[in-house]
Amino acid sequence: MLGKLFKSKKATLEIVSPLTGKAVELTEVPDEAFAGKHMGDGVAIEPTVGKLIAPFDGVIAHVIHTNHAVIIEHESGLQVLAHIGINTVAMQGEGFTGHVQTGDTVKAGQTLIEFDIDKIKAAGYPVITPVIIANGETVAEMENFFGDVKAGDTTVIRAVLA
Amino acid sequence: MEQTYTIGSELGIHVRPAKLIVEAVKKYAGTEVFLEKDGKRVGAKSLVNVLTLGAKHGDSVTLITEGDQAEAAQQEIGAILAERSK
Repeated sequence: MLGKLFKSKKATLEIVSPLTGKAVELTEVPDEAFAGKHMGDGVAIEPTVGKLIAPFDGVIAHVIHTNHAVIIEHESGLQVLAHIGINTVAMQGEGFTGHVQTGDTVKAGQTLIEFDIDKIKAAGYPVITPVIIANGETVAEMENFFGDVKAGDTTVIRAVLA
Repeated sequence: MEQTYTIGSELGIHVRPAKLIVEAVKKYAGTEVFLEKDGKRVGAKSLVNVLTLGAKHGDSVTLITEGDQAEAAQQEIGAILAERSK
């Protein structure tokens, strides 16, 4: 689970995976905006279960009205964006069930969005989900971790807060 | 300076165009950039702020730029708002 450590002055935040599946490099995302890290640094997760959970206690800074993307803000101000699938905005919410609203306070592990992996694939969209820091200026340095991940359990990003 | 644009993208200002706006704003360090829709004004430096506008296709959004490079910022960001697809 979430481990928040204070080393001398700088706080380090360990962000656990919000999804179960496999974490890979952002460069594997078939969308230059994410692959080139223009959207922010982080990992991409190929989900095996269609459930996105909160990686830490926080506030929903924004949930897109079509429920395919959500930004969660940690008390430190750091914001994590999870964008389910690529170009899935075009599905207009079909296949996505949102469980939170913008402004909601959430607990680590709480279900934020459920989504139908088969439906997204059938519609022709990659289901790979970038999980990135939306406001990179809050982070001094970060390290990403790859491989099989379990939602709420496996650390995918270790961020040293600025 | 300020100018009002009609959102050109069928999908509205979703995550990708919103990030393009935020990145464009960063280029104009000496210029303040705001977006306004239905009387709600937000700073355009933050992705969340821009997304919070919830600008959809056909909506009118006013772009306000103040500072050294107000005109250049107006042109670049205005083009993103009006662009048909992104």
